[in-house]
Amino acid sequence: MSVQQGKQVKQLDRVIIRFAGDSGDGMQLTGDRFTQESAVFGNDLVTLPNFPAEIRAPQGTLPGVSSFQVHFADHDILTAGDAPDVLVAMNPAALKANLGDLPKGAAIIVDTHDFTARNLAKAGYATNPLDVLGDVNDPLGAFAVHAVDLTGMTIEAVKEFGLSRKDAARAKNMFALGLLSWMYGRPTEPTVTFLEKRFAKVADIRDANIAAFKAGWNFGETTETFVVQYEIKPAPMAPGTYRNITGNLALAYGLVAGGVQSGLPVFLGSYPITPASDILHELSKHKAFGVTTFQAEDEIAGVGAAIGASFAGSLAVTTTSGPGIALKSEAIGLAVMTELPLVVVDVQRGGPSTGLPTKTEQADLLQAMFGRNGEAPLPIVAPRSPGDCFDAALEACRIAVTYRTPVMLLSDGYLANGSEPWRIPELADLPTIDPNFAAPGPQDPDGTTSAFQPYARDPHTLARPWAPPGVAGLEHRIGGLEKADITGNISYDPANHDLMVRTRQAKVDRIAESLPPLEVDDPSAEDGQGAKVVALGWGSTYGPIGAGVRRVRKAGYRVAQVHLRHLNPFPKDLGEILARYDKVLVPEMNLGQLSMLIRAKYLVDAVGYNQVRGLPLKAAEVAEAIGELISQAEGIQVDLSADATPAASPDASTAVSTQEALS
Amino acid sequence: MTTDLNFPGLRSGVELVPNSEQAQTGKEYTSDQEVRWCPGCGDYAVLKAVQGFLPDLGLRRENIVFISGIGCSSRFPYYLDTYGMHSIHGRAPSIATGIATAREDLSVWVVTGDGDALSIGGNHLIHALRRNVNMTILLFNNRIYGLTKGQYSPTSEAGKITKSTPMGSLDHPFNPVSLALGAEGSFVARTIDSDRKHLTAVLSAAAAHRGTSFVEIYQNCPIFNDGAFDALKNPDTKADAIIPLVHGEPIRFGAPDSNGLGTKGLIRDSETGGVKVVDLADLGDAVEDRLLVHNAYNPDPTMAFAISRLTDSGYLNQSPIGIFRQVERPTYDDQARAQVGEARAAHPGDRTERLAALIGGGDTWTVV
Repeated sequence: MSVQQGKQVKQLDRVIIRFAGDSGDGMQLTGDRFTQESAVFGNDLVTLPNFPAEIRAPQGTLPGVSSFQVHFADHDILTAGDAPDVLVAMNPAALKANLGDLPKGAAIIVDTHDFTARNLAKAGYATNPLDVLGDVNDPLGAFAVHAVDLTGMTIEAVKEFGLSRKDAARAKNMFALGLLSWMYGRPTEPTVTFLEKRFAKVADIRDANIAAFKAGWNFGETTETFVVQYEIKPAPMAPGTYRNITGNLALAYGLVAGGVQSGLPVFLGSYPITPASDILHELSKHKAFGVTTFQAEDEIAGVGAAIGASFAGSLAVTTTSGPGIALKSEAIGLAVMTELPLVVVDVQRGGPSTGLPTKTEQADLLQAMFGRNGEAPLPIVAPRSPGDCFDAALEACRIAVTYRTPVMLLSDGYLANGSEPWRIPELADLPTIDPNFAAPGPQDPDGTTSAFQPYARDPHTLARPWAPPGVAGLEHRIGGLEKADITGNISYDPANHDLMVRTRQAKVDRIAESLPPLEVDDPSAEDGQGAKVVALGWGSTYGPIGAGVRRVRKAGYRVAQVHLRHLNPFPKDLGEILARYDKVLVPEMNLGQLSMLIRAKYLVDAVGYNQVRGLPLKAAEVAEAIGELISQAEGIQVDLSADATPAASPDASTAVSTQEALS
Repeated sequence: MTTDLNFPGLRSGVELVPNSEQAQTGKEYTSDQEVRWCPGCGDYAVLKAVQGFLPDLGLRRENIVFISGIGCSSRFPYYLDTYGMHSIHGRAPSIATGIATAREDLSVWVVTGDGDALSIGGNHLIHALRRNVNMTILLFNNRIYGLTKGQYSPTSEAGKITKSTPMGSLDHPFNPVSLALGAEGSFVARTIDSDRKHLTAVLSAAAAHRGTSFVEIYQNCPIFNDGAFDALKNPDTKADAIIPLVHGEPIRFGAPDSNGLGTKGLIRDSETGGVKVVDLADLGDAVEDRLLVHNAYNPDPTMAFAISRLTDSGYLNQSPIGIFRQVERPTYDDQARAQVGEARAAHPGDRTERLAALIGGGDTWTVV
């Protein structure tokens, strides 16, 4: 092996890498480490983990493939990318399962070690595609394939630690990580430190992983297989301190912050469910903040205990996914009726029923909105990116406590497990939340105190008093039966019921008074030539819609973007904003749930762009949908391949495609 | 992996609840709401007993919380002037678990029925008992669904003719005490609505117990299942029907002998491994050796379970009454608070500063 003198370095503005292997191959860890290295390096990034619901699906099979996609760039990006530039495939199944997503010219790094007859058969390959590389019938002819015995070299590199062959081979993911870290000039110290910490108690495993990681780096540096190293400069970001964060972690931190900002103890009642369990895990670590976590016997007990804790004066939370919401519905209705603060977190996944536990979807909006008996309105808040889960959770806490109501916080599987650089907020900038507990009334001249009225209301918020037990004079009974206005006594009076139904609705509607004006992103409005089409979204589609909007604008067309954090009530100015546009496109990962609400409320002829594939929307497809509406609204032909802006053209000679430059 | 939980030490069920400075009366515990049970309902007797007994606890009224589910008995909290919640069907134990875990200074009571606790809420009941959350559960068992007007319940005898079972119900009934003992309840008792003295004594012991206290109260429904417990209430039959359980006392009942002691008693049954009722006369000199002495403090629930099986599953002609089991076991809520307390002690300092350190942790980088 000759040492390459001064390898070529090519500049790229962005790269999408997908690590793929068997579910036991450690691909999530590999992707996560590469992400951390890129974050520390200063690139902007977005990640997309994608794994099967089975913990260890049958080895070597297509259903068992686990992957982690990371998109990193020298500029602000919004999505994990539509198509990978580089695929790292640890076995034949990983190659086959991901090949269809690769654009022509993409680079593939395959571990040849697992391309055995048995594994090829399991993946459905009649012949080994690596045997015919470069032939006329090469099925991989459109790609730049690097066939490397990653496992074999890993075993060789860790020989000195005396591990079994099986254990030695398990470090192959770190070899792959080392190789990719070299290719993209990633800093290696964070990963070495990470491995030292993670395997502190098993010296041989620790040393083997570090050795494999370094061997992978050195292999890239010395071998002739890889002649080019790539450089992706740090992205300019707003000043501040950053960390990489997943949605579930940010959401858990937001709930801890809710406790600190309200001065209340946090109580989480929860039952484990994918993809929400990590919030339970995380909150269970924060008892020092006065957080109590209760792993209940079922979903209903989880919300039941939270309602009890809320009655007792805690900031109460229950976390789950769609199927859990279905089970909790009756209890959430009780919280609506008793008007107790409660944050209900729904990390949405593919449905119905058990559906796609590890895949993303946003098809619980109507369940959140209407999934209870009777007129049972509750506020709905949705984060738009992993880091935004922090702010959204805090907002849910604010609404719940201020308005004495259950609040639905709609995250999803993509936000939960995906990550992005997050600017760590200054605590002074966070809102404070006033629990404003009820106090006994003033004494009358005769020494008696007027009776406590548990259903009297604050004139501004329409909230009722929150009176946890322990205060003399505020003894009261609440429950699921209809309440008489003001006194809270049981009432079957028809006029009272009508009043109370309207009052509960009015209270939720009143929240709109506390919301800031919507941000409308329409650069073309400045020159008085506003867009005729607006793309309206909510939740995790913010990234793909934003990326699609950028593509459309880059091609020289006008489009506005509005993204909703509050789904109930809608911001006060939404109707007026939508009325400004000829066409309203609503991209969603469902069959048109926000569209339905918008059409019903504003009589707007909203057009849906809907995909339910268990994956984030693709920016290119959103752009096409926008282009179609622009074409209709403006009566013009729309060609999105045009480039109306002078931009530095990417190096077309590399194997790394940068054709989709704006994602 | 397990860890030493540093159990904070056993205490009385109400030790952390503040005491009232003044003597209280039953009237103070009576709310201004009109009681709306049917005339003759056994619930009235229980309500009166509870209103009469709560002042004796000497606790501050504002630190007492009654939680119920759905059913006739679940209206109970409305009639007591304490804090209370009339919740949803079967879920009262879960709501009470949240309250008891969140607040050590509250005396938490659950009022439930045979349908609420054993049918729709069966899961929450057994898990509350398993965890031993500090609360007292009063299960009003009338062996019928009252509020929905007369369908059979999970404690109704098999073959019962009701509106929903015109040819007789097919379900084998639960024995609530056996179920609670099977879930390793730390305090399990049974009493009767009409015996105020016994009812009050059992409630006092239940309130004093730290952990989940489970009290089954036989309660007559005069509308849909009248007379279900007549054998235990009729002066002519009750001596043979009630098997009284008193800790430390031999278990004997039936018509009194010349010394005023019951002529029947419980002995071990070597054939079944359980216990059986015998005429003590048949034992001759062996009475002393073989007659069972009730031990509610036995850490092993096996004997208590065997005694619980003497309750008829069909029409009730015989049933043990009293405290079956009363043992000390760490409670969930004490331990949950201890963990929070331990974590807080290990991380002193301002919460805001610690929050800044938490969210600013991990691998960070700064852009200037």
